[in-house]
Amino acid sequence: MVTRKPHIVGKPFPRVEAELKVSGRSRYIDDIRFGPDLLHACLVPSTEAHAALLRVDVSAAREMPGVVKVLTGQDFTAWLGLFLKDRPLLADDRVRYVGQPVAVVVAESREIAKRAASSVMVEYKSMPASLDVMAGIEADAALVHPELASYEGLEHVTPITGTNVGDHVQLQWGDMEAGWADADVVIEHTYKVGRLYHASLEPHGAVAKMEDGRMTLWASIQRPYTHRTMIAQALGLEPGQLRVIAPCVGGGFGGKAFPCIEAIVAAVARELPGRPIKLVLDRRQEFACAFMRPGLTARLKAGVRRDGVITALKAAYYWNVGASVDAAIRVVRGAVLAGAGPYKTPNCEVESYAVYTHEPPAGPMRGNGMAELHWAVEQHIDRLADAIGMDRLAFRLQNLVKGGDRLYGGRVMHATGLETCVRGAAEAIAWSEQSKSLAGDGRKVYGKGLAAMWNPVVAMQPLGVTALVTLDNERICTVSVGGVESGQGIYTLAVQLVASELGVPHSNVHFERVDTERGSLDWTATSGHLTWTMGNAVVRAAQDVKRQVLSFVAQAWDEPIGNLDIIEGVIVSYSPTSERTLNLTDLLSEGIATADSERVRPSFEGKGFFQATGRPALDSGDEEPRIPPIIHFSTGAQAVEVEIDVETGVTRVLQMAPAFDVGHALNPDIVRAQIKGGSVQGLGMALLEQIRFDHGFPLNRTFKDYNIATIQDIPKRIDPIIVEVPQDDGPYGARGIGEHVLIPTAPAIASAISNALGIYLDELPLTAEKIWQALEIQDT
Amino acid sequence: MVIYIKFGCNAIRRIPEMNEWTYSDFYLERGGNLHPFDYAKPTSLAEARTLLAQTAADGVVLAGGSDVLRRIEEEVIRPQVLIDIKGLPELRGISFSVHGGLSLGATTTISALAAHNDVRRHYSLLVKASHQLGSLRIRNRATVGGNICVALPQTDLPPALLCYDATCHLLGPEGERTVPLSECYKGTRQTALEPGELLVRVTLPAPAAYSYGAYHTVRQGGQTTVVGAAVLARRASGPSTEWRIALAAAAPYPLRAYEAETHLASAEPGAAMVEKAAELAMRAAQPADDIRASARYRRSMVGVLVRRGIEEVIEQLSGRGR
Amino acid sequence: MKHQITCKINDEVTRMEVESHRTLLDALREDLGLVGAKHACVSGECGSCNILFDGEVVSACMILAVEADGAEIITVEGLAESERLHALQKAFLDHNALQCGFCSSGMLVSSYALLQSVSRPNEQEIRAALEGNLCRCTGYADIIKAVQVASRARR
Repeated sequence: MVTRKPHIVGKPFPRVEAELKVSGRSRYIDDIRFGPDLLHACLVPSTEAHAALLRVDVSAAREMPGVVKVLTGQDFTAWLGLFLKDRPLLADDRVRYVGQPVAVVVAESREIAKRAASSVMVEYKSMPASLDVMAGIEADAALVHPELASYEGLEHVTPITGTNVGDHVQLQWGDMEAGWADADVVIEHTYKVGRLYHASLEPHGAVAKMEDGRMTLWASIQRPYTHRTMIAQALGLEPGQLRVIAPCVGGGFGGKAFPCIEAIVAAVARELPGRPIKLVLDRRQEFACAFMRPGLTARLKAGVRRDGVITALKAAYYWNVGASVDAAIRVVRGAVLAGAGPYKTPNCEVESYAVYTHEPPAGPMRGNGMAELHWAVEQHIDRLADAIGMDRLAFRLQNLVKGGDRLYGGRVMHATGLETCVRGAAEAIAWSEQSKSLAGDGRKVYGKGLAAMWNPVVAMQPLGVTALVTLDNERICTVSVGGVESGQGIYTLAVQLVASELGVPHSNVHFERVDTERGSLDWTATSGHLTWTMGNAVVRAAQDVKRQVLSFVAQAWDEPIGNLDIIEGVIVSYSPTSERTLNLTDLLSEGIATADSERVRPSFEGKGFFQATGRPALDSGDEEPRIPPIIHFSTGAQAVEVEIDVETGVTRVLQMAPAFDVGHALNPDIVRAQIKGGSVQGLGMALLEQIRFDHGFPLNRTFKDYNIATIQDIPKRIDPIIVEVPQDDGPYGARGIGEHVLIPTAPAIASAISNALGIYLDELPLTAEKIWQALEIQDT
Repeated sequence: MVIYIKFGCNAIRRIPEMNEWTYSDFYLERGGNLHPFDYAKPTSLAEARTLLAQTAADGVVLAGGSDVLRRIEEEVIRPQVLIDIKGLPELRGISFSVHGGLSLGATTTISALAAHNDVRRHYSLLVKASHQLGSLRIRNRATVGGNICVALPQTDLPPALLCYDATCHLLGPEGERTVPLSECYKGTRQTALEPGELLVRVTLPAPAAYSYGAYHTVRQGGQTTVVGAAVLARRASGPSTEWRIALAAAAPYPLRAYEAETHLASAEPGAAMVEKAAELAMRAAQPADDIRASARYRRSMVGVLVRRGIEEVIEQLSGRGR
Repeated sequence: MKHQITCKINDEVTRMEVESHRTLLDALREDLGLVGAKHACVSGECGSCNILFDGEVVSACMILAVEADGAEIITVEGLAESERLHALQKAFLDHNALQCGFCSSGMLVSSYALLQSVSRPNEQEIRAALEGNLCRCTGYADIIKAVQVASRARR
């Protein structure tokens, strides 16, 4: 008798690709061999933040033996952009940031390519650069894109021509005047976040080959379908002419969500049919020419009553998007949807501006703008609570958005575990107990801090997500999705979902790496979408294939399909008369004799499609169609305790208690792993990470001067708290997690520091020197 | 802070902290491709000397490689030949005698130094400093000689060596000569080594009857020392204490704070003495502004770390009684 | 200039002809196909290319191939015994001590070296042994745990 085994969804389950990784056998882009025909590309980047290109002399490079091709922006014009085409593949008539590719050299070896690239002479005429966001919006600022008005873009993107504003959006609700009038205290302050590197351990890399009018691109990227669309568009190819394959990807964090060098490699491959062309960056180059996270200057003004009610909030977010806004459009737009933070704000006005500067282009980074935004909002909440003498936790609990609360535009908040997260995190660090600060020996002080977060998950493209589940004799069951495994564990999740839905042992389910030729469309693959969109598509594909199998067997057995099920890989009939069973593997290998024909060996392909159907952000009437529908808000909190050496300013995080509402933890181990990893990334962002510019020239070149958190920086305890308030349309009620975990950590650490020292620090990162300096000022 | 000269596609930048010009940042293809050079591994000092003389400025000595290979990779230097000195027996090994003191072969790795029993027992400050030097995989390659010869301000071992009055033994075409480590530094990336000269070993005088040392640093991100202060007290017999204070990343090169030392030796013990010594050390410092910290912060940290070092040492001394 | 070198790599005596300026990392990856060690910083800062060199952890990007003449080298590919994963590999797998996997080879090699010298390391010793290995995904906590579990499993 076959019995149903417990569900493998919701249970710890080892990562399906981990064995390859621990044995050194997984293949990343630089590990794949492309044979003796392989050519190597090398870029010639700009050394100026803003300059006219008077001359790009590539004659010496062209003549060098072993050099196959040299291309400059004069040889062809191609602009990249998904929302707004504001990024030339190679610099056109000018350079707009340091590191911008001016030319590309292709040669028989890396050494020759590098030597040839260094022989390219570029004559620049320097021009004034716009390097500051707030100065950049002024009328007299140097323009990054003077021809902005003529750029091709989607209708909803709204640049302000004649300025450096690449996109802007506003949202207002309630009665601001009444809100200000009602306030006992009004606080206005500006917060800043500098630019950051995604710093995935694996740098960008790509190989492209053109053959018989079709191109194949292998690349370390997060969203093969986005890359395919954007690169095909830029190069004038049909999407069907471009096949994108993602091998194992060594981390992305948003830095690999949009094409950069991949498009250039593809462009040269088009010129050199028949030979694969490779470009893999090293760390210095990765820092010099890949994306950076956008910077943010946030002006917040809020009114509060003595009883703890927030009466009005006005927020203006100015994003430093560098020389391109395209990859950061969703950051800029999402900011208005979450701009007030996860708090009840009856009267509110939020504006968000993308400001071009002559700095490297912005790419979204884990948190999709929310980490930057919450840096401002959560610190402002601390200031409000402090101003009216209320406990910071109590103030938050009083104002947190709860399920059923009315948000802007008539929208009603769905059920959320936000309050549970905040309470849980606070409790985990014993919030109500005084920190040791009073007992400190004078050198070390201690503080506790907390921050909450929400993240509006918006429906991306009207294209939806597909997944495929195939059954055949060779591999039994294969699941293929359009999202890339970049460490977040989605292949494991897909395998779990299929095994569970189809009713087969997980050892029978295999995953397939993304290949746009074979796989399933997925535009999202980032922004915490995967669990939700891909998960749903996978569930549906598994259901589809199961239906096919059962209907096939039902026909053969001449039984109603309703009598049949698949349990642990065995097709069983519940018919009171038959009680027949058949192993799925036997069905696939030997087939089944049908009533009226001979034995056939079947194979099945199930498809699943998911298209989010959320409510618009704003209800009709005053609806602004420019804002895509919000599907749901992911919520959570972080609580920390810190120790500060008041003589040196060196801060150590002693404990972290991150709490997130994940809907339903499909794989609790992976969820916890995401939470811990994101918390530590947040710790690095709070205390260590900083890009310094000198006249637009990024000074950080390697990990030696761009410090990410090391194993010595992490606290003794990180205790993730999983809260599960199911999401209506999530697979098994689940929602994403990867994106959200970075968001509340930096403000929580800042909150703990201000709790310990009584000093507010408005600009990231909170380096030892910055804290020391603030203490010095406080002393005098 | 940084000066650029542009020609072609290269930006030349001068990084004061390194006192050197670098212009390679911007060839955008994966590195790891070192420009071609030859490699020689002499097996005797005579052979090494000949090679050094022959290659002159085109030859660069290779020991642990942590610094040299990185500079080649960044194309800061373009040597024609690398002379690997790890094959020279005279440059290897640690020897110790109670009366003769310690002798460290120049190619002794930091890990080997920190693991050596006599070093741990009699020169524990070297061990403390070693533990702050990079990470294990660096310490397994980096050498005592290399950490001296790079002549960089942020090196961790030299302050401890300075505290023990280390002497460098240099071998050149004219034979061997000795230079106190404190006189070895001429500036960032500049040492007293003449062209063709090789640092063979470093010797430390016999250990005092009792000594105790402390090494305090400010670091963030667990990587490079932002500021470091080594403090050592030693006693022969009787109550008189000799002090040594040396600093990392507080000047163009590792630096002794002589005035602070003198003050400690002569002043009335007490909090005022410690404060004053810390202040004198701060005055001695000539720190740089760089990407890791400002000069102002560094100077101030010198004061904090020196004070903490002295306090730790005094606590140890008093714990032992007289 | 080319050099003939002989070394023992993952218990196999290997002869190679290498240029003076070839790094050991390139030789391992490109000449021998041992791609477990990764190119992530090529300046000795991240630990992704860590290997065991005569029993000690080193970064292969900061050593010349010619320096490996006569050396005994173990890479991540050499940790497993035939098909059986090493206890560390198993523990990394079981305890989510990896995500994107790019740093894993170096982490495993560093941890392996630690367990060779300290059979039951405490948390502080693990931190000290792994401080030169950067990871952007895991937040390190699960790596510490995996090393502890592996150290217990081996005894």
